Amino acid sequence: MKSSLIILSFFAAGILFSMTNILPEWLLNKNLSSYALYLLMLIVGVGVGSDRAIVGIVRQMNVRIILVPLVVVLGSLGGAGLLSYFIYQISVQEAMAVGAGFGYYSLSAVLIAGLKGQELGVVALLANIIREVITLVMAPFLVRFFGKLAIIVSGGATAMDTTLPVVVKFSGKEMAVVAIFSGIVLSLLVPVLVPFILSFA
Amino acid sequence: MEILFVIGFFIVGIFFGRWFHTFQKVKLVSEKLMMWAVYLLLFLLGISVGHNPQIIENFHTLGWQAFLLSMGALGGSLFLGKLLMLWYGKSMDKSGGAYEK
Repeated sequence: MKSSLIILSFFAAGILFSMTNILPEWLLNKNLSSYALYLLMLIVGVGVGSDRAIVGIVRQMNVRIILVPLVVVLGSLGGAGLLSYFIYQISVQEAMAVGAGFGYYSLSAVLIAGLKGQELGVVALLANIIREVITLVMAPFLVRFFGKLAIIVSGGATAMDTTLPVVVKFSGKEMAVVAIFSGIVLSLLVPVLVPFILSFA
Repeated sequence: MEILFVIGFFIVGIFFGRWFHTFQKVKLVSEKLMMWAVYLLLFLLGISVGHNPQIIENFHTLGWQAFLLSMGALGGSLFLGKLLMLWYGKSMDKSGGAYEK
């Protein structure tokens, strides 16, 4: 939760600073954001490639445990895509890209803002923050109505870190492994799926 | 075009990471760097949003769109998650998830 606040405060600071008009003009250059995004993707890649735990996780996969993140992918893309019919400014593909953030709002928001524009970037930021907050706040109800997997699938990519404590508390300690596995797989999918979906938009 | 660059840098990064994976430091440094790159990008997003009166004025509309989309994503995930539980329910309950060794 603390890291979420830090991340958000950088966004808020950006808005506040730009309103005071004390920032130099070159900070607004769109190329700067693009280069920063390329750098971020390079770093994310290095992180993924150098992580031996990820190789171990891929080896441990079996059909049944892989169904958990798969359910989140299908449910998030399908659900967001379906509701996009009520939002005439947002196409099905754009809605699916927002859904493909899986709660990983920092990375998905900057990716979508860079590839599709600030407006959809802001929507992605808010939508994925809402996803995390609802998971944290509604955790006990989610378990009661949707079963033991509920918090893990609603937390999405955050099930491995920020929402893991509520998984352990309300679903049980034995679900922690499933939560971490699903969270890691979904976090890895964000930088792949979001650009892929947006290439059809 | 930009999408190709984004995916390209990601793939190049993975190869770099595999190449240097014996140095545990690379992983630690890349995690730190990633955090700061995200902070920088969100700060820049904040700046351009602050300079865009259209977004500021429509913030509540964007908020509603975000709320709807997150409801869709959550609803879809929960619905399919419930189905999965019904399917495998018993074994998942007992073994602590689909994680039998």
